[in-house]
Amino acid sequence: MATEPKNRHPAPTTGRKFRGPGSVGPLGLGVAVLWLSVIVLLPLAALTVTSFDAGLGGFWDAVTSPRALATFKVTLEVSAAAAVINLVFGTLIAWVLVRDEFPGKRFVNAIIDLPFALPTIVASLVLLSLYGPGSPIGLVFNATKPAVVVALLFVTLPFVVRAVQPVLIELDREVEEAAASLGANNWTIFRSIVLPVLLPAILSGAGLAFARAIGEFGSVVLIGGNIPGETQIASQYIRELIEYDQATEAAAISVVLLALAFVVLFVLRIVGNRLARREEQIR
Amino acid sequence: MTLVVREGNPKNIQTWDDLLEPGIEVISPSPLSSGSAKWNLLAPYAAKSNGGQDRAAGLAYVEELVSEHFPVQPESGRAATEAFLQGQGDVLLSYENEALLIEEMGQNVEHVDLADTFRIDNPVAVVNTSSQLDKANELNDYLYTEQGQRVWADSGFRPVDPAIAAEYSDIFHTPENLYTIDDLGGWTTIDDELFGENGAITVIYEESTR
Repeated sequence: MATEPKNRHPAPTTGRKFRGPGSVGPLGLGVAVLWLSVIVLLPLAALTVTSFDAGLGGFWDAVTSPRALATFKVTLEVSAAAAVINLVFGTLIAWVLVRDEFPGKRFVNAIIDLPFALPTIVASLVLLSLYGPGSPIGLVFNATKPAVVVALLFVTLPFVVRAVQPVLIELDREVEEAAASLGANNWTIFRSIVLPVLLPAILSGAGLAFARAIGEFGSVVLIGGNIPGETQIASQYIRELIEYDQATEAAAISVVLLALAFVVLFVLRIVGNRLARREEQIR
Repeated sequence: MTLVVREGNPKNIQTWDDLLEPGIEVISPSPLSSGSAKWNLLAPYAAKSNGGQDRAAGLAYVEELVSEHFPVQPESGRAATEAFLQGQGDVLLSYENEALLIEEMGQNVEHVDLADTFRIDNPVAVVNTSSQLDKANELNDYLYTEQGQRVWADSGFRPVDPAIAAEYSDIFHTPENLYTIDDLGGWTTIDDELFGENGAITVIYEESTR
């Protein structure tokens, strides 16, 4: 989870030296690479190999079967919806937390991280008792797409808030005041002064939220209903395939999810870098 | 084997054919991962194939039921019950003891006495390498005593002792046709023909999960 504003102070790119002030040297680098390999790269490689156990054709059949395509569609839809909604409301919450003073602000600030700390299955249970049959507030919509989106909104909210918040704190308010003194109204100030600076952080937060959402399992499992083609998301389909002893197909679906997450993060980096660079140039 | 419906039976489900009415959603686990699912599907298969005589008719029914009326495929019998109790579907295919259990829990459901249904067997086995073989045998023997049979009956399971079964006849109604696994040729045959890797029902399911 990135709480540091990304790419705002790009490191000087003069020369690709491994040894600089504060460097850990070749041993440190070796340990870092080894650790990354063992913890991250090795399992991913093993998964990818498994997914091709039935050959390229088997892989293709598994990921293009009507059921697989339906779950990918549902997964992308609900994840995109959750990311977009949280993009708006996460930014709003960050704004309120940074710019407004109100009693209990520190408490609210602490609550934002709760979805990170709370086991996702607990979130699912809570949502089910709130929106399931016998709902205390009279709202029953479990086993529908909105229910899945609500679950994803819950677990991905901190990503946007925590990405935007630090950037907003660092934002130079004098520029806004100058703009205001030159006659710009609030909307103009937001649109042409604040938003360009915040945009990389907002997009990065929303992207992380999206990437997290496409792989989410725990929070959806009880409230989602697992209806194929309707509310079944890819992670639930993977679990179903494993239950059916179809490990190769499950691995194939997993590889697609992995690729999706990778592409999302990759695009984010590019967009983020580009926006940051443009921002630097304008200054 | 029984059908659980919402309280008052709003869709008026009485027979196996009622399940194929348009729009009826039936909840039952997938036989690819669940044992109870096999019993659930053998019941209509036996009823529709006249006890295994007309295999094609039995399979045609199962195929239509699975592909048109099963909106979800829970991984276990209990998961299916949970989905039904959380509001999914109109009918739950279930063990009679499970149906009685959830009725007793005060859920707003009731079960339908089918004319043609299937006897689910709950076998008991003693592990002969057990370090407490004598106690295990004692427990096994106890299960068949009058007292043991009443414990079963009170928990929703049909007693095998005819005298005790008669005492509970107001709970456990006798169906017109009660098929058994032996009518269909036993588990070895059934697993081979229907649920094995290339079994007819496995194929139906794999088609519907693709």
